[in-house]
Amino acid sequence: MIVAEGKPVEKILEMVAPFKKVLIAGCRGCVTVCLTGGEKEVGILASQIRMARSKDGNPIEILEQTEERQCDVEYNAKFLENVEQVDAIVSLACGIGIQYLGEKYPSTPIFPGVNTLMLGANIDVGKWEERCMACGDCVLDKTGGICPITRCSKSLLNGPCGGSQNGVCEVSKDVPCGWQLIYDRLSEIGQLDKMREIIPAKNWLRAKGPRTYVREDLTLDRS
Amino acid sequence: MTITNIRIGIYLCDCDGKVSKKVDLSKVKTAIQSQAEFEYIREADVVCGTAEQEKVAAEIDKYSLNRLLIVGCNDPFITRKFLQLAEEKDISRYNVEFIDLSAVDSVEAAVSAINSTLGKLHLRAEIGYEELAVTPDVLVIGSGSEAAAVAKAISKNQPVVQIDHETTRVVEVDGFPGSFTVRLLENGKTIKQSFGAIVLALGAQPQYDANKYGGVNLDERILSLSQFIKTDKSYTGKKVAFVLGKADADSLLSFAAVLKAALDLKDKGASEVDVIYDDMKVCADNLEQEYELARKKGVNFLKYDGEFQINSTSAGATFQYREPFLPIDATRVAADYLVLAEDFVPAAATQELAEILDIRTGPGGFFQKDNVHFLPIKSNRAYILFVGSCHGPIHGTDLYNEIEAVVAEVSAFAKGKAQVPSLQPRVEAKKCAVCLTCYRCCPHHAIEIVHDAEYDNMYNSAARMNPLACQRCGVCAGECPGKAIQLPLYSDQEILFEIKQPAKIVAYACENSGYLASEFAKTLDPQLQKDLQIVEVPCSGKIDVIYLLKALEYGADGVMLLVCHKENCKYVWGNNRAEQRKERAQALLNQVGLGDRIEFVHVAANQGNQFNAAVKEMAEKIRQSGTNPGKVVK
Amino acid sequence: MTEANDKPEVTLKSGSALEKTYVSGQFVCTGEVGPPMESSFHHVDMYGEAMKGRVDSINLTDNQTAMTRLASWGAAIRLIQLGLEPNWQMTCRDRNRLAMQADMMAAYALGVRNLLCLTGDHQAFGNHPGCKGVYDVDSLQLISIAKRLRDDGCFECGAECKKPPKFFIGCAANPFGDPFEFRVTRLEKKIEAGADFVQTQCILDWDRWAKFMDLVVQRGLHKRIFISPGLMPVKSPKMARYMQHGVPGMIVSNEFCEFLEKAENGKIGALDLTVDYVNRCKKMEGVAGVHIMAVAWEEVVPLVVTKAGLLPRPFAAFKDNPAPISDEIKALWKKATVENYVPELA
Repeated sequence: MIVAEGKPVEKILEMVAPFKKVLIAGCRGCVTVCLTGGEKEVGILASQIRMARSKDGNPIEILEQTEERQCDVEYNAKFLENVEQVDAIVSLACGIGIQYLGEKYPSTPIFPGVNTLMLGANIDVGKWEERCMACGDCVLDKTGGICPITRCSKSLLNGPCGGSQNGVCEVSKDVPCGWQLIYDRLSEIGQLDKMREIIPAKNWLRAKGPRTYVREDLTLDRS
Repeated sequence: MTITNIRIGIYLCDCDGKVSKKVDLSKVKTAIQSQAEFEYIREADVVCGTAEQEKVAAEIDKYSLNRLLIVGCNDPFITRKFLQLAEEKDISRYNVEFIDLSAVDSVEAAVSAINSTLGKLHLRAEIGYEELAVTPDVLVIGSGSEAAAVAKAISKNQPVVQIDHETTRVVEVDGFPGSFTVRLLENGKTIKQSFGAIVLALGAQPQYDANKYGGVNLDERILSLSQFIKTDKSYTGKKVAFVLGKADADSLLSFAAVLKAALDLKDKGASEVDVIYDDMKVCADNLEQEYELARKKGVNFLKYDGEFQINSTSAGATFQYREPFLPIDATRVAADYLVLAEDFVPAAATQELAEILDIRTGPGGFFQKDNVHFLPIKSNRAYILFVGSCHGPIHGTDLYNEIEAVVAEVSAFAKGKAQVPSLQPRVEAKKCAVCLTCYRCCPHHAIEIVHDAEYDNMYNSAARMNPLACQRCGVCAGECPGKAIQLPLYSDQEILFEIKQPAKIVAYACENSGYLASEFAKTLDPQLQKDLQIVEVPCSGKIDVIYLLKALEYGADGVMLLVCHKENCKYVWGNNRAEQRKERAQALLNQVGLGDRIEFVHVAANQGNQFNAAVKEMAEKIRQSGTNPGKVVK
Repeated sequence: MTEANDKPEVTLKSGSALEKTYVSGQFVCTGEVGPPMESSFHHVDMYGEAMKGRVDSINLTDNQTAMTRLASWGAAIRLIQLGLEPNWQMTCRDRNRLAMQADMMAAYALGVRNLLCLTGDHQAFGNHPGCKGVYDVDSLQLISIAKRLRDDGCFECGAECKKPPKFFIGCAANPFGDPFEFRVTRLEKKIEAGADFVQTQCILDWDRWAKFMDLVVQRGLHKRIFISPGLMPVKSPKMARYMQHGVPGMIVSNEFCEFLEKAENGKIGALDLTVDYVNRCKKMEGVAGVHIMAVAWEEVVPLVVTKAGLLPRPFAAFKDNPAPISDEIKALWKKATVENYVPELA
């Protein structure tokens, strides 16, 4: 899922400094699951900001609302009543939700309360690791189910580079060498011969947009 | 979650004239009538009297009351009467509250207490009872004498299946108490069976450690204690010497076994029986008597001190040592057989079963963490129990007591059904993101993820707490990022209501430690708590970061968390979670310059003085950080 | 060493002195200069001069360890201006395939003939750790691009290049990287992609290097690509021990460290060890030459190649009259107490 972390509150305070009434919008999707932007975190941030502004003698009124998602217009419609009352919105959804909520209410300034970090797996409580970069051209069949774009620091398609030592990437001992992982996995499933193939240069158009995806067979004609 | 139709009846009792000496109840009544939301209120002279009780019963019917607030005293005998009355009228015990006015000396204080309790009654979830179908069958895992003993004891009331976990092995355990689904492997075949409870009775393994005896190896003449016990041999006319003390330092099992064996040998005509020991440990039932009896029967007890040397030949074995009381250099005991005590180590399958069952091991690798709340037979999971040496070598009366405890515990399922108050946390499916956080953080393996069209969210799925497994600690509620989980009696709404006009210091106190310590502490220094407001929680793991912030937002100057000592949390890791949340809350305060306002204290129920010391430290912190500038004035 | 007329007539791919020397079967010797962190050719000139006539060609590193330096292509052209032969290095970290092919066309037009295709150290190591590491293609794909231009006359996209650059293509290999079992296969992949010669990571553990070469020879790779191990004189025993323990990914044998520790003069010891390794390499099956990479100590290259009996070079410019040693170089030798290492050069 999408993993995000909370922005430092000093930055958020700067964003809302000129405003007296603000809505903090949470999302029950990915940011709840990664413990960053759900109803609880909305409450915590709201409390923190209220106290900070009170301390500075510049009180702020904060409304709190969390809905299913912020990446669907029907859910964003649910924020209308509160948005009409406030001067600005701080959204704790991922970058997608923040923007999409902003598109729904274009005349209200909208601010990011989180930094969207990655597409990651939840390894254990409080721990997430990146696994995918949405590169648009999945090669997991060639690499034993381990992604070279995300798990190799250099995103090499024909790794490992010379810096791989003891299964560890040259960049940091905390980073396993993605290609060592691929090599080990391919060995385990008896597909090591796949590493003899040279994978040609990537079409990066697939990996960088702005990208759109349309299913012609499913689009709805409402006329 | 909102309950409509709350109809509260308030009874202001004079306790036979005692209350009106300090508090004018009519004034209280007037005040309440003007401020509060309730259905019926009246004064009474002695509301616990029989005539009054009948009157109350009639009023419940007349006004369709479904909640009661009895203001006057909370004498246990009287509260029981009222709860019985309430039950007869289908009012759950959780919908009846009592306020003790004996310590209250003003109308204002009385009114305040009443308003506070009324608020709680309004916010409290509907708590009924669930009747669940359960399997009375019990699975006993183990093959030694301990397993046989507990299986026999349980089988008097309920069906028991005993497996040795060798020829028949446990492979997987699913489900919850009352209906554990156990997958067994027997002769290559998989069998699935349902059990209400699981009892581990693997015993401990004796293990001879040559290092403890100067590297001496066992042979024909030098036996380990377990070898001696197992082998069927005649020792008539023989000399046997036992050595105690070097091994099995933590238990009495060897002592018990040796005394028994010594008596037995004497009876069977051994020519000489010596027990060589460094300390005679007889601190368990009957051991002192057996020791005396052995001496009477002529068993020699020889004390050694420090170094010794063991040798053996084909003809016999010797134990050479220094006798501490006689003025001789060395003493040598020669015997036909030397029997050496062994250590007891966990049964071989301990780690494997711990993983399969998701239960913990503790000191020495035996089952059960060294946490007093689990003693003697409990694990972190309800109805998965330990008996006997599998959680540390025990014998005799201790073992017998454990067996009794297990029998009592599993008897809850003997009738095939169990009734439980539905006090476990409730999940609002609409808010549940099925993130698995509660599932992972539950110390008792009490949560499952269920799927049903009735769950009104995008997954048609939500977490659910099993009523028999759940221990109502509230850790899950404190973890939930979606605020989907509310623990009845301790919901966010109820707790935030309690602190909405907080005292200078709000102390969230665990009911097992901090809260009890605060009661004791009050008797030692009542003045110290005048600015302190105690909010009781079932476990410090219930304390949410938002509770800490809100107390300050609403105007407190400082917040305390009073938690159990490390490794002593009744709910395994509730106090650890509390500490992590405290760290986060203090970091949040630091980020906006609000100062050092949170005090985290490990305290036990009887540590009144330490409690007071902590309050003083909190007061000092507040003095240094100043009045809370973050208070939000509405 | 085989005689030139033993080999059948071979068409040269780039015509560089390096290629000629390799193809002739004579023992190759290359040097290396790290361009400076400033807009000046002073050091390139100084070291280039010192290596004039003493090596077949000279590597110019490309933002080595991701520290931004004067571009390899710029230093390469400077060497050409001085009459020397550069080994241009290109990493995948700093350019996309458009820039790579564009630079290739320009460099070739300006006379560069040898190109090493490298992945490049991760930008985290350097002085701009937040910069975007490009990695549009990896080293294997870069080798293919260079080969396609040279042999098929077309760009990576398939379009025709009327006057394509025709480089002698080099690559790197690390016998000390993991997984060890795969390193030889990776080299083979580079051969298949089109690499003509390979320079290895510097050899600081002879046994592991020997093991690697065993596997290489077993597979016959030495017959399909020219192999030059990298040799680095390590200035001090302390530095050797630091590299052994303090540098991730570097394998230094105890034999190597102990030799330096036992030497009376550490710096002389370092040179002796390098010369010894050159001599071992001369006798090693599968080795076609050596690459002297005297990192941050370029001034000792003339000493090493002379002492190791690698002169004269067969095809290098100025092979018959290597440049006299400048005073500046001699001063550096004196500072390192190695000025008398090769008396005739002093």
